[in-house]
Parts: sequence; C-alpha cells; structure tokens
Amino acid sequence: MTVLTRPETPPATRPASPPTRRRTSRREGKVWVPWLFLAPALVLFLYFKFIPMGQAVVMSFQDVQPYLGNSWVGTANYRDLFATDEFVAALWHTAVIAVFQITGALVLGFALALLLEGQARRLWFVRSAAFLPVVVPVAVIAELWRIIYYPTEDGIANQIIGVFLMEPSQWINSPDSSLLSVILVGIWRDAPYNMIIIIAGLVSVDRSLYEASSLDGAGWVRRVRYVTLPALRPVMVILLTLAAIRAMRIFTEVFLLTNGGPNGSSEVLMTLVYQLGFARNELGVAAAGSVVLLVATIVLTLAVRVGSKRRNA
Amino acid sequence: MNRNLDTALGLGSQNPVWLRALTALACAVVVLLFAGPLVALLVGAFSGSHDPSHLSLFPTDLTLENWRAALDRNVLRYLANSLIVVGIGLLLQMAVSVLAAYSLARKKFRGAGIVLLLIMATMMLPEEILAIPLTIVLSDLPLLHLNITDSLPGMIVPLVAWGFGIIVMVEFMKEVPRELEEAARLDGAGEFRVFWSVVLPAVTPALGVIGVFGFTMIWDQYMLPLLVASDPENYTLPLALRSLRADPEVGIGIVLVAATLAMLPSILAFLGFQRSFMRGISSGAIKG
Amino acid sequence: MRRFAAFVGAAAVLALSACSGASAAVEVEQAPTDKQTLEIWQRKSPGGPSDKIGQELVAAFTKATGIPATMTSISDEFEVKLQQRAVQRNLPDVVINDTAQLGNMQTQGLLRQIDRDAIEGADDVNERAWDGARAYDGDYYGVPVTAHTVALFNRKDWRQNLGLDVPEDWDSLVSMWKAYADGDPTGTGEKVAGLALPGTTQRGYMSWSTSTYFWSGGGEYFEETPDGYRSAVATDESVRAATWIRDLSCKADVLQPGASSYDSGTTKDLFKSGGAGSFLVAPYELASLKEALGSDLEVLTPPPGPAGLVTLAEGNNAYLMAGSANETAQEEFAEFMISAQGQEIGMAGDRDGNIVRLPVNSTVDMADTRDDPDWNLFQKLFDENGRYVPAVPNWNPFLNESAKTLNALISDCSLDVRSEMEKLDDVFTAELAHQEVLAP
Repeated sequence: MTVLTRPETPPATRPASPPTRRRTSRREGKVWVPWLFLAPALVLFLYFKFIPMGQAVVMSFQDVQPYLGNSWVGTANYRDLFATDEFVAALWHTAVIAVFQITGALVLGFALALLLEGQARRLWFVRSAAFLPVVVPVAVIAELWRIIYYPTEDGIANQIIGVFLMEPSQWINSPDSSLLSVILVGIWRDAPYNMIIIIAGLVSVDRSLYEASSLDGAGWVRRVRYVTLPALRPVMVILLTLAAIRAMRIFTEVFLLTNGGPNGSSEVLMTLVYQLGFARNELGVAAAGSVVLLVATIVLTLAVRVGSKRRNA
Repeated sequence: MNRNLDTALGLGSQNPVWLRALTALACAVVVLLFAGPLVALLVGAFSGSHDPSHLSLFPTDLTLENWRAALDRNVLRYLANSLIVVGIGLLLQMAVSVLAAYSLARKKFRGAGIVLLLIMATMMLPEEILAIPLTIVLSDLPLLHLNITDSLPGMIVPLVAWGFGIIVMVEFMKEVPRELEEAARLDGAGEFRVFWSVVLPAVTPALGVIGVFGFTMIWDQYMLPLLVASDPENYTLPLALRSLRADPEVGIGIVLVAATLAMLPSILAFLGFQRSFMRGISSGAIKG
Repeated sequence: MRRFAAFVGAAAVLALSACSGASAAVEVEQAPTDKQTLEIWQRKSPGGPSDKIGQELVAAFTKATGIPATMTSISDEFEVKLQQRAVQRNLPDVVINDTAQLGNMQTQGLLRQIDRDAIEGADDVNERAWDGARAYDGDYYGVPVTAHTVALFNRKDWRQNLGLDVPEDWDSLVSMWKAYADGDPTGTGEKVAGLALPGTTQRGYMSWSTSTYFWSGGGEYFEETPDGYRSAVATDESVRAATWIRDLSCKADVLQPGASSYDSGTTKDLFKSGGAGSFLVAPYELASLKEALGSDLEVLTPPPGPAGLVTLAEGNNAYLMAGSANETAQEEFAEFMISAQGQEIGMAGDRDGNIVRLPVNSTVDMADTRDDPDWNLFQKLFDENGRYVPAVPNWNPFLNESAKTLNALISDCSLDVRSEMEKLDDVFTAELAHQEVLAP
C-alpha cells in the first residue's frame, strides 16, 4: 500500500536500520566519508532545530528579560500558562479547528475523489484546477478570503449564502462566526490535497471486487460503502493523523485572517504563543507554550507509530 | 465485461445523458469553487474597480494602474527578495539534501540509524514551534556570534537543511543498483566521482521532485521571514501582503497585484512540474 | 555506549542553548564619537508621505551634525517588530513612537533615562508635553517631539442636507448620527453609518478610540491615591459611560457594520470614501481628509458629555534605546528634533505626512508654517481639554484588556455591561498588583 504525505509532515517511514548488505566492501571507504557528506545537514539541523529546541526548554524555566537579565523561576511559567483562561480557550479552539477542518476536508476530498477518479483528459484538467489552492501560498489564500468574507451585504460570501436565503454574516469579524470562517478556508485548501491522495489510493482498489458487488446487484452506495471505503481505510488513517499533527500548529491562516480575534474567539495555540512572546513580553511563558506544543506533537506522533505497528503485527 | 466499474461510482461515457450532464455540471462547480477565486484575484489585479468587497471573474475596466501604483509601494523589491530567497535557498537545499541522502542511502556506518532518527525528529520541529528561541539563535549564532536577522541570509540558511527533502532523496537513492557503483569503483573512481557521475545522474527524476516541493515550501514560508525581517526593505512578498493590506494609505488594487505576484510562480511551478509533483506525493511513501 | 553518546549529545545541545541565551544587561562599549551612526525607527507607513518627511528630517540632521543616520518606517505590527529586536538584543538606536508606549518599554529596561538638563533646548519644550515622557517613577525616559489631541471630523454636507445644527451635547450628537444612518444624507439611498469607529482589539484600538467618550461620560480607568492606584472601571459612572459607548452599536445602531474589526486605517478609508458621517481622530489625518473631502469636511469641537469635555492627548517621544553604542549621537538627534529647525521640518507645513502635529517647542509659532486654521482648534483642545493616559508603569495591558471588554460589548449585545465591567475591574486590579502599584 502506498501512502502519501505532505512536504512538511514526517513521512511515516520506519526509522529503518541502515540498509543491510551482504558484505561490507572495503571500498566503502574511510570511516569519516559518510560523516563528511552528512556534515552540512547535521550542522544546520543542530543550529536551527536542536539548539532552538534546547533553548526553548531552558527559557521555559526562566523569566526572560533581554535587557534586564534572565532569572530562573522553576515551573512558574508552566503554572501561569495553564492557569490562564486564554490558554484553555486556545487549546479548545485548536481542537475544534482540528476536528471540523479535518473531517470536512476528508469528506469533501473523498467526494471530489469519487467524482474525479478516472483517466479522461477532462478529469485531469478538473483535478489540476481543483488542486491549485494547495500550491498557492497561505498568505495569498488568507488575503483572498478576507475579500471574500467582506462583512457587508454585497460581500462575496454573503451574496453566496444570500442565494440560499441566509442572513448576511459578519464572518471573520464576529466572535460567533470567526472560528467557522477559519475552518471553511482550511477545508477549501485541504480538500483538494486529500482528493489527490485518495484518488491514488483508489487506484489500488481491486476492480474485481467492484464487479463482484455489481453482480450481487449492489448499487453504487453499497459499492462505495462495502468495497471502496474499507479499501481506503489505511490511507484515511494516515491522512487523519498527519492532519491532526499539522492542525496543532496552525498559525499563518489564523494570524492573517483573524489574528485570534475578535475578542479572542479564534485564538489558537500558536497565535497565543506568538502574542505572548512578541506582544506581551512574556517570553518565558511563550517558551513554555512551545514546549507543551512540542511534547504534544511528539506524543501524538509516537502514538500513531505504535498504533500502526500494532495493527501490522 | 462491464467497463463502468473502472471507478467506484462508475461514471463514464456509457452513462445516460442526464447523468453525464450532471457530472459535467458538478465538474464545472468544482473548477469554479477552487480555481475561480484565484482567477478572480488575477483579474482584480488588472481591473480599475477599487471596491474592497468585490472580485469578479470577468474583467471590467481593464487597466495597468494598479501595477504602476504597486511599483511606488516597493512591490518589485518584495518580489526580488522572494526570488532571491527561493533561488539561493532551493539550490543550497537540494545540494545539502543529495549529499546527506547519498551518505544515508549508500553507506553503511555506525550511527546511521540515529542520524535518520534525528532527521525525522527535525520534522516535528517546524519554525512555528521554535519561533521564539529561533529568533534568539538567529541574532547570535552560538560560537560564531553572528547576527543574521533582518537580512536575506537569515531567511535562507535555516531552510537549507530540510528533513523531507533528505528522506525522499534517500528513498530514491536506495533504488540505484549497486552494480553501477561497484563498476565505477573498479574503474578507480573516487568517492566524489561515484556520487557525482554515477548516483546523481541516476536520480534526476528525484531532483525534480525535491526541487518542486522545495520551491513550494520555501515560497510559502511565512513564519521565518516574519521572525527575521524587521525593515520592510527585507520583506518577502507573502510578508508584504499583510503590511500592504493593513496600511491605510494603500488601496486594495496594490494588494491584489502583490497577491497575484505571490501566487503566479507557485502555480507555474506546479503546472510545469506536475508530474514531479504527483510523483513526490506518492514517494513520501511507506510500505505499511 | 550509544546511550552515553546520546546523553553527551543532549547535554551539549542544552549547554550550547544555555550559553547562547541572553545574559544580564551589560554596559555597551561606545563607538568613538566621530564614528557613531544611528538607526532610527518610526511607526509610519513605509513609502508613505510621513516616511518621506522622516527621510527629509534625517537628511537635515545628518547635514547639520555630520552623523550618518537611517530612518526606517514600519507601520504594521510596529511594537511586535520592536519586541523581536529586543529579544535579539539588537534594538535600533532611536525609536519615535507613542507616549503611551513609554511604560511598556521602560519596565523592560529598553529605554535610557533622560537627564533633562543635559538635553540642549529642553527648556523650550512645553511642560504639558514633558508629562507624556515621564514614567511612573517620576523620571523621564523619552524626549517629547510632538503632541496632539482629537477632534470630531464631520461631513458638513450631510449635516446640512439633513438641516441639522452643529451638535452641542451628546443627545444632539447621537441624533445626528442616527439621522446619517437612517435619513439618507447623501440623497442617493446608499446606506451609510453615523460614526466610523476603529473597534478592533488589535493594539487596543477599541479602547483608544473611545477613551474621549469614556472620560467625557464620567468614566475613569483608575482612582489615584497617594499609595497607588485602584481600578475604577466598575463604578456607576464608568458603567454608565461604557453603556453609552455600547449603545452606539446596540441601541442607536450608528456604527459601521463590522466596526469591531476595523483598525484606524480601514476606519479612515471608510470615512474618506463616504461610508460614515463622523470620525473622531487626531490632526495627523487632517491633510489627507481635507484633500479627499474638501469643503464637505468640518472639524468640530467634540460636544461635552455628562462630565464635560476631556479629549485624549497623545504625542510621540524620541526614545533613546538601551544597548546602543551611539549614545552621543542619540542625544544629538533628540536635540535636533526639538530644535526649531527639526520641529518645522516635521510639521511639514500644510502638507500631508507631518510627523510633528502640534509643535512641542514653545518658540515655534504654528502660524509661521501652517495656514489651515483648524490646527488652532487642535492646539486649543490640547491646551484646555487634553489628557494623557494614566501614568501607570505599563499602560498597555490595561489598554488591551479594556479594548477587549468594549469590543465584546459592541459585538455581543446580549452581554450585561455591569458584569462585564466588573470582570474587567478584577483584571485591572490583578494587573495593578502585578505591576506593584495597587493601592492597599
């Protein structure tokens, strides 16, 4: 089975043991040769990933004051963080976005995949057109949707829902609809991506099963339900977990669409950390927030890995 | 044999006319929904209307006025910054990826497992999570004591080592037959010759894959430039979009021009390298 | 063995991280006086008219003193950018920014203390302006370079179309706004708003843009006692003032739709393009609004509220930032900015883009450089009604929290004003305690 991943997410390749070979050739060269080839990558990772990570841990136990000097405060930053309503609210908003955006994008992506599966050139064109939002920079998407969400009656989104006789909405400008507005943009951007992956998954569905179910007199609903969906399950599971890990650190969309507002109604973990660090001078607390996020990511990743291993066993 | 059943829904040319019409309609809606807004953005950049609530698929009042005004607002500078970052960044990123992958895919050495694990770990450490400490590190690189903030190198160097690029490359390089390498070595080729003349040519399609993904990844960067740049002279296009929009003295027309400029290269890259793109999507692959 | 290596590696990373972290502030070695340069920041739109005036000012400074200097204009997220530079321990040398930012920067140790006697020309700067440069501890941490207050920009043509007089009190003010919103003042049937209000929580705009109404309505942020401050936002007067502000949205419905997400820029655009009839704003918008609206625009004294008229006074200070290797040059720049020459360049005559609104140098006569008489109205309001925000150590958290509360009140009309203000009161009290100035 083939599973596809997005560039910034960890491919769930097994941290395989080094490629096994029958014998070690003397021509493998000197011991330092592999390290020479690896050196640029390792040095850069050390500087821009591991040292900052270590620094986040160190800072999370400090009151960080660049011009007054840092002091150790033990776990006070973590206590401050968990004690604020904002952090709890941000956790909740992040979870809401994750659940609804992921589900929405998966359902819509699946529907698109069913509609656009096939070899015809026309379908290829439609698929490419639908895929465009995935490659366009998030910053552009956000500005575009700010225009679509313009809160007057003749705003584009309001005209569209007006066709269905719905009242104009304030979209990103009201605490009631800001989170929903962010989710809709996320679904719009993620669904085509899911579509492509699901279509790739559909290729591997055994065609003879379709025929068998057809001979049994099953309609398309039952065919999708009993043949297609079960065959796609592994793809879906991976898609889901990768999306969940990604959703935890959602930042740019929210930052540009609502900046966490109005009234904190769409504040997510990363926008909160950013605000704490660069708007409110609570660098230590912000670092604690980063560490919490990091730990959550690691736990989720390991859980997925252990879970998928167990299934394979 | 029922050819309908090539796909789950069995949509195809032998469906009744009404169903085919419905399918075509659905396809039209899909194109309109996903590509329509992007086209409207492009059209808006060329039209004279300055109503911030409107975008239209059909040009009214075609003009280059927005583009002229955008030049006054330094948009070319932002574009140049973005192009420099993506150009140099991508080149370095691909170089670092192939070097590291060569070692991991073709060499057997103590510690390879740990290195691979570390590289995977870096993918759990995106700029978003590291934002605050990364800002500090960039302003005073440990041991070197260099400050690379508020400069283009500051936006490039941290992207040069990219876990995804390395791992995709490893997968491809593992497939290169060992015999090729052995033969070259028997001919007396040194380490670098083997890498440069044997392994690298065998993985050119993979270069396309990490190239197009790397391009999209760097072009889409937001957090890193946000942390690095403070002088607007150093803004990249995505970063400039927000400050242009938030600026009371700048109209929506200029924002649309900047958005179009930020959008087009990524779309062109996708359309030009579509096959590499799709191939890449299936090569972050795992055998479950 | 492997485990040991991993342990050593992790320890090394932590050690590197720890030593790369910022340590305590140290004296910065000064550059030789003839080698000093300046990096100056101002919170202005890059490439805009104020940026150009800023460049002129810096060029004149370099010409007069021989000190090379660059002026960087940043408008979007200025404080965030500055904070980033603070985190990097690499602040610009001079920052020209709002008086209200003083406490925030001072409590973080980002500012050099100013010795008034050591600044040439300091005696020419009027005393009320110096108020905006003083921190809670009574010391000065900036050099005032400009001051201003707000007045009511109004659509004269709309008012006259509807046959209304200039509003003299709050009742006639609200009925004028209602008439704009409901009475078709443009005669085109186009729906317009009464008052354009920047109501976003961002940078505390909502609180900032309504503080004139809040004070004039009898509201107070704090009660000042000899031993410190006490929150006053839940008093009857404050609740009444807040209710009046929220009723603009929930009862009279005279605000522009989506007011709760407008910042000052979008609000100005709205007013400029005829989307609303009134806009309470400072004179830095005078030139550009005059240019856009011409004789349709009038600038009015805001009608007094139940507690009289108190208008929000603001200004900019030149802040000399900590950690600079160019201290002599910093001082010379501040001296240049308050000199008659510096003030006049900054005032930019009647042109758009002035960075000096009302001159702080009392030897400068406004009439020498400006013909527009509306400027005198601002001067009169500043002298008689102007009031700076309270000199708590750090005003920002209070600004942001009150903005959040008021923003919630205008966006959600089901909220109870008193209980929201009581919640705010708790937050204020906690923050005062946090800043260690809570009266016992």
